[in-house]
Amino acid sequence: MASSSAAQVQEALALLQKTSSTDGGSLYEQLTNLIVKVLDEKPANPVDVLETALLNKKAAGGAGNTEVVGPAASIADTARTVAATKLFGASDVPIDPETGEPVEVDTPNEYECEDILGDAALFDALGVGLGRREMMDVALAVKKLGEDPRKAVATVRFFGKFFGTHADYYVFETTLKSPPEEPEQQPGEAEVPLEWNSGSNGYVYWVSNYLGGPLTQLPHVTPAQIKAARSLKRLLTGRLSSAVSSYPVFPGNEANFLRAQIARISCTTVVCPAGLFVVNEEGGLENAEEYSQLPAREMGATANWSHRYPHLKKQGRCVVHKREAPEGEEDSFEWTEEEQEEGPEQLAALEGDEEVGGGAAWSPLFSSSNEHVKNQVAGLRSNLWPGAACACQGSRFTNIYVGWGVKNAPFVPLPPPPVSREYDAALVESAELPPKPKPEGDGEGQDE
Amino acid sequence: MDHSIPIKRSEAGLKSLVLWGRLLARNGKDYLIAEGYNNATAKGKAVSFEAKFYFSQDGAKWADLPTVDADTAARAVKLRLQLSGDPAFQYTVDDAAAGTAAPEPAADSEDSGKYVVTEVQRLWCTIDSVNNATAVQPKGYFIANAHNQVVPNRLFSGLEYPDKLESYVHRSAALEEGKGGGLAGDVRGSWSLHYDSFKGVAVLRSLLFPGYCFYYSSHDLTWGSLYVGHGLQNNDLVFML
Repeated sequence: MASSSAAQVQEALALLQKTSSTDGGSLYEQLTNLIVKVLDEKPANPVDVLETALLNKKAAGGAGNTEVVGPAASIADTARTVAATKLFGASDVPIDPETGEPVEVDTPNEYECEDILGDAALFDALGVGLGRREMMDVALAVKKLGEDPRKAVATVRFFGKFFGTHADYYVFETTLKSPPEEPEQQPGEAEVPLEWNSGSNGYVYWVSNYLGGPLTQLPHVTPAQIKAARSLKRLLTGRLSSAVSSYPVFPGNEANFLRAQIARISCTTVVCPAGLFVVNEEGGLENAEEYSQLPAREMGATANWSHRYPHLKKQGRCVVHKREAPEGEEDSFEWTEEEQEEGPEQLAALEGDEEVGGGAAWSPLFSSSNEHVKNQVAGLRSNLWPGAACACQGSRFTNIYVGWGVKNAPFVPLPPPPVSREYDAALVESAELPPKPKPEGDGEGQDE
Repeated sequence: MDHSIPIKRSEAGLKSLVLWGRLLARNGKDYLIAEGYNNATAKGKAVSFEAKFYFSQDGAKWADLPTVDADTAARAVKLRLQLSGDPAFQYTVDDAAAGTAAPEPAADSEDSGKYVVTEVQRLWCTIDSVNNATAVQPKGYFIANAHNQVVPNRLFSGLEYPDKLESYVHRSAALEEGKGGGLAGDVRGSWSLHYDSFKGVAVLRSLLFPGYCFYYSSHDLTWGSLYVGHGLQNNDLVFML
């Protein structure tokens, strides 16, 4: 009897002493430690201590506390949050450290912008865009940009948000009060000149990595950059100075690439309700006199929207640049196919957009699945540039882009260039005999 | 959805039903997908969550999404079109039947290699492919208890290195031990991690399935994920980085 019970005791002890592979120690050890601890500390209710003491010890390996210390807050991240809070409330008046008096601040700039929070409510109803809380920060960032007297913008619009692998971009579209003058064009340039302050460069874009952060102005986009961007499919990294692509060579860094993508996206997806604007004599847009609002639900149809910004041609410009025909050849001079492209007329309806991936280029968005709900919001989202959306309710309409900056088109990487020829003549073995060496009397003997 | 998800959860008798994401459809009627499960079992180190999926187009009524067998799943993956938005829509997939030398043209007979995949089947396959590549959890959040069930770890006290990809694991590999692995074992560059050390929030975005987003907050130890997108894998990722 005694031996079998002793054997059982041994078995039981062995089971209790089995070490676990996850945490150190065995059940035997932990129970022993717990009993020792209870006997040492003599808490008021030892039974209540059981759970927390035992499990805490086990989880932390018996020694340390259970609090896990994550990485300390970095200065950059802290500064980012502080900058975002600075957007709110009245701006602090900077105090000159020497005199202790407030420094004279330039009067804030006068600018125009749309009702961003109202637009945010439209997008929120449709389920696209950034959401109302983030748009609150956006509205204040727009205010900060607009009021900056040094930038002197005339109008500001929030273009959208581009995601990047390391950081995001918030993009603001502005027109300047005094746009810089066009530099003199060098004659005889082989490249297509860029459109200065019109067409694809009609707006000036500012970006920042976080709302409240410093805004960087993006440079004007050149047609060469647009053409190169069309052959690329790249993600943004979040740093404006990153290199973009080594093949095909992109003329510029990420700031130029972002600007090119903005140009492509805005020319394709910024839309307005059809009939709201008409083209005036100078080619600009002005409000139509008679514009009747359609019932909300119908604004989900592509027939009721039209493109607002001019179409970006294959050449990379909105208005095609045709080279001047040399004198005397004006009739017979042929322009290239690019230069002859006409493109759709201004304010073309969205119905005419080509199909994307076997379906329409735009999908409708409604704020309610039930047709009879009153005061609905309707809009469209683009299938060509995923992330672009427009919304309309009554007389207000708005556009936004929130996405990766990538076009939804089948991507074929550019094939490598043809192998360059090293020799002018073809590499064919010559059947002729090698040339006879010159006689030695010339003084320049050749080895052969 | 505040109302309809609890109703569906009690109807289906699930322990947990959460919104999984939203699959965009061409006609505007997007599919909201909810994922629910009762138990998660662990066999050795492999974890299987028996997840059930439900879809809804208006957020009010949820319908079952039946599982799909492997053959149909393999065919559905070939479809690269966006979802149409009509649950009864049928796609035809060309698939040379195994064993036949030359598939006959479709006009002649039905067993010629053209298979029909319904939109509902395609939905399930899309969700499955996204989940296989994503379904992220913080490492150490789930633990296997004595009954080989995978349960939330009551003593989870936070991630030590939330700014590293190794701290996050796929759901199917949640019990893997060791320092390495986790998401860092995925194709390099397919995850974009941003950790705000001041607010203690990590946001992970998938570049392989753009639209998948996972967040983890180290202050209140909460985490969640959501997918909003077309459901198509980004096959051009290698060119885009």
